[in-house]
Amino acid sequence: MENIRNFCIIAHIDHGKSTLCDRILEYTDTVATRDMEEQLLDNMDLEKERGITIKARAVKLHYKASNGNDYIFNLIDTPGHVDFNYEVSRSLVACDGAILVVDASQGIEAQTLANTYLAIENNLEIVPVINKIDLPNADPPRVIKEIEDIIGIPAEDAPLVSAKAGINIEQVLEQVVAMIPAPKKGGDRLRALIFDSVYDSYRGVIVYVRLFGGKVRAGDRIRMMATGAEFDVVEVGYLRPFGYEAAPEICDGEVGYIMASIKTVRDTRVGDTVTLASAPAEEPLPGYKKVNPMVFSGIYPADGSKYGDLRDALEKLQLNDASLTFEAENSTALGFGFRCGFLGLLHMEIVQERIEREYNLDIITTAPSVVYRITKTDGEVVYIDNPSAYPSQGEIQKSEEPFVNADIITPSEYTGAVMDLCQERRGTFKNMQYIDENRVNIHYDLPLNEIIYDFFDALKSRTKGYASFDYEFKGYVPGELVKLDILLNGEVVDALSFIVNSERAYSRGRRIAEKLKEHIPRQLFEVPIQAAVGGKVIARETVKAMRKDVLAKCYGGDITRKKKLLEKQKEGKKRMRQLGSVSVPQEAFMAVLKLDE
Amino acid sequence: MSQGEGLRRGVYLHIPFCASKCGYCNFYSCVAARSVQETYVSALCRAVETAGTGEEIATVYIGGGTPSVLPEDAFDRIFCSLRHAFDCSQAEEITVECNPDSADENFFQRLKHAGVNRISMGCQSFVEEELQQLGRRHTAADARRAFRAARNAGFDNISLDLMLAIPLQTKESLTRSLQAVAELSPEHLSAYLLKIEEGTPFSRRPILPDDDLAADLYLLASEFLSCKGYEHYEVSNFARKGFRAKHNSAYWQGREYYAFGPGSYGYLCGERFFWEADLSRFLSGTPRRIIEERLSAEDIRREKRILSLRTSDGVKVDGLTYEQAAYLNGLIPSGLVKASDGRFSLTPSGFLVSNEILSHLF
Repeated sequence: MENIRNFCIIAHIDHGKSTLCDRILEYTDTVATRDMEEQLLDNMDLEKERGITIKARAVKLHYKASNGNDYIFNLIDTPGHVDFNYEVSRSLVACDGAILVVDASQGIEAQTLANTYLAIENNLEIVPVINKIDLPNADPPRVIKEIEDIIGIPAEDAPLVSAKAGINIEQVLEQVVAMIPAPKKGGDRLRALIFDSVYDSYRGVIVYVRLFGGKVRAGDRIRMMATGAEFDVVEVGYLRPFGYEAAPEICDGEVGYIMASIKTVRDTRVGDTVTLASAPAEEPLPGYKKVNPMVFSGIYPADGSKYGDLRDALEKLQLNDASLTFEAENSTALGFGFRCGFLGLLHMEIVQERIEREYNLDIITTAPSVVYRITKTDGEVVYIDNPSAYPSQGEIQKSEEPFVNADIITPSEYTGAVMDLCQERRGTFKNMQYIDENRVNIHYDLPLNEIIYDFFDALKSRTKGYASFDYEFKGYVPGELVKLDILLNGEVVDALSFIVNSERAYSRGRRIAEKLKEHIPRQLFEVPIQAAVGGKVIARETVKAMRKDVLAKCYGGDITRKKKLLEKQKEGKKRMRQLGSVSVPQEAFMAVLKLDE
Repeated sequence: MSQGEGLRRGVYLHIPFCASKCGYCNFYSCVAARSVQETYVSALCRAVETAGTGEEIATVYIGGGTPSVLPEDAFDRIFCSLRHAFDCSQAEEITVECNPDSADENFFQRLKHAGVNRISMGCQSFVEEELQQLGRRHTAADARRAFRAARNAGFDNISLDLMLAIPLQTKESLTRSLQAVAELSPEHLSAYLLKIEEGTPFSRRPILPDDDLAADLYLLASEFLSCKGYEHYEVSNFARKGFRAKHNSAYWQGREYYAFGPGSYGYLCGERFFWEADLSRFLSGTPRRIIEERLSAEDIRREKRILSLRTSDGVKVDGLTYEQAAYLNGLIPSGLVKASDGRFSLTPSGFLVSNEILSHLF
């Protein structure tokens, strides 16, 4: 056990976490350079493209240190995004230390800060590493000072590396051996922390665990302490760069996997403790919680006949993603679809993208909604995530919306732009601190509702992409909320309704009406677009009637061409949604999600 | 058996020459030397004779290009070949297209003599600035002169072409053109909304009436001509009673027709084809015939539905599905469709948005 080092790597996007992982894999026994696919740990295509880790992975490596001893490294990769905060925290708990990678030219970013604090809270030893020292604008002394000032840990001995060029990688490995403690001995009874699980269509769910006591082997009957589910272990082993390596048993302090013919990831919640049914531990490991979705939206098949395919896709995604929820819903405008719950906006985008790419389905999503807390006049408290379920104004005694604490780190020249944006989004300024002479960390309380639309995009465009952003749920705050309806040709389009703070209702309603006008083509009759609150129209636009769409000449040579044209026009109609008498293209539903453009 | 078979066929002859090219035109035509034109007429006559079946022909249409630029004896030779190849004795309509700048009374007399009974003349506008913008070679006075020449030569069935929504056109200037037309009092008028074709010089020209003005101009023309006793019987065509274009109507009724000349389209035995737009291959006697589509019985029915609705005759209610009939019925209150005698037809406003309407019935 003294020779085991369990650790993770914390870094901001693009600061070089994946490249450093690759180098560590190379410098340990495990992977020959030429065999190595770039960025081995990120398995999903989407992860590679976005350069982020969505799901945690882990790998066991062998390292012969300069002191002559052999060490076992368990490198646990953590998701890098705020939406997956809970998963991050469980991955961190599985470790005894963390390598903090900071870009020598960029310095500390919001995500780095949040995850580093989380690691420190979990008593992890932090090994700072300054990466990309070969870049022309690298400034290691500045970044070292930043780490010491902002995070408050010594960094003068931090290895100065270039993961890309392979400079000083061994120093990192030596510091892992020297600075990160070996696992502490746990009790005799099995307590294994689930920090991830993946679904495999042949073997069922494979659970990734860190043992904090006891051991587990094939044939054992195990119990999930939170869910109570029990399974017979088929196989245990270690996670190696190229797959699973079966072993007779895995022991206290080790990181490995358990296969037990588990059908669904819902039985293997991240953070739950695995114990033996025959000799259960008295207490589970602390910190388990069931994560609840924060953001909801409707997902509908663009082609109504693909409803069954969409359900299959969501079910398959859910096998691997316990935090995705969905239930069937029905919209007059969009037909049959699903109300889906997500951890956050990125999670939502990832799920949507995976449905479209991996399952090849065209989908329409409705405006995302947060969960509102409504106290009715009769005292009943309800949580509303769907505008169509919003009680009428007369039934509401008190309405509350979720707020978050937000950290925005930006070059100081954009401070004004960021504050304007937060102000527009109903933010409350808390404080601001200078990280160095060029960068500030701005703290705001923001309504979650204002973040989920297009806050990221707006922040990026107003800071030329330099600002980074992180947030955590703060609590419910009372607010004047109203349901805003959109009417086309006098009829409410349920899929376009949403809940909004009353002071924002007018501007949001007007903007949506304008956006719809841009995206709804002229029809044979005039189409009024109205935004209304409680039956009162607050904004109106009109799509004028189509005046001219005619082929003037239709003689011998024109007839075939004419037919092709009509055919194309007819195809175009198939991509439209028929809302009453109005044809609305799918883009219109998408356009109302991006109002800042 | 296609529906067009059994009915008498038409003949279309293409003359791919012009005195100059107009900026909006995408028809196959070019400016060519007299000797080339002579050779062309010979090749055309040979093609006609080779295809000849002796069958009785309903209509003949010689279009272009500008047929009136051809040498003097060309029409005699062409008609000689036609009569040799087909039975033209019962042909009800024999039309030649001409331009006001290349047609005098002598020309019309020779046409008359050759057996032509209808003239189609491209006037486009009677407003000088508009004619210049279009790149036309004639003036409004030329058009009047040519029209009277045709009348003097004895033509009692003359069609004029006007263009709508051309550069500089306003309601006022269009009214002037329409008044000029009314004074000449042709039997037939075609009024085409200018369509910008890809690749023509006009496609790079930004100053054109917008869709709303274009629509207003179209409706103005329709109303003006109706008041003068013309029937708006097809999207772009107006006629006095009894003077609908017979050859063109055959296109809209799904009847068959022969075609001769590069770039011309024919429809025979349920097959729509065209002759490759390649003058030199045609001249060397090796033109390529390219089949565009073979029509099934269902294709023919669908096509007929579309083409009939582009005419004032419209479609019979009982030829439509319930959904199609319901759709058209729903457009009656907005004035785009009217129903009478068990038929649906489009109003002039309906003609203006006919693509949108027809795409629902296709």
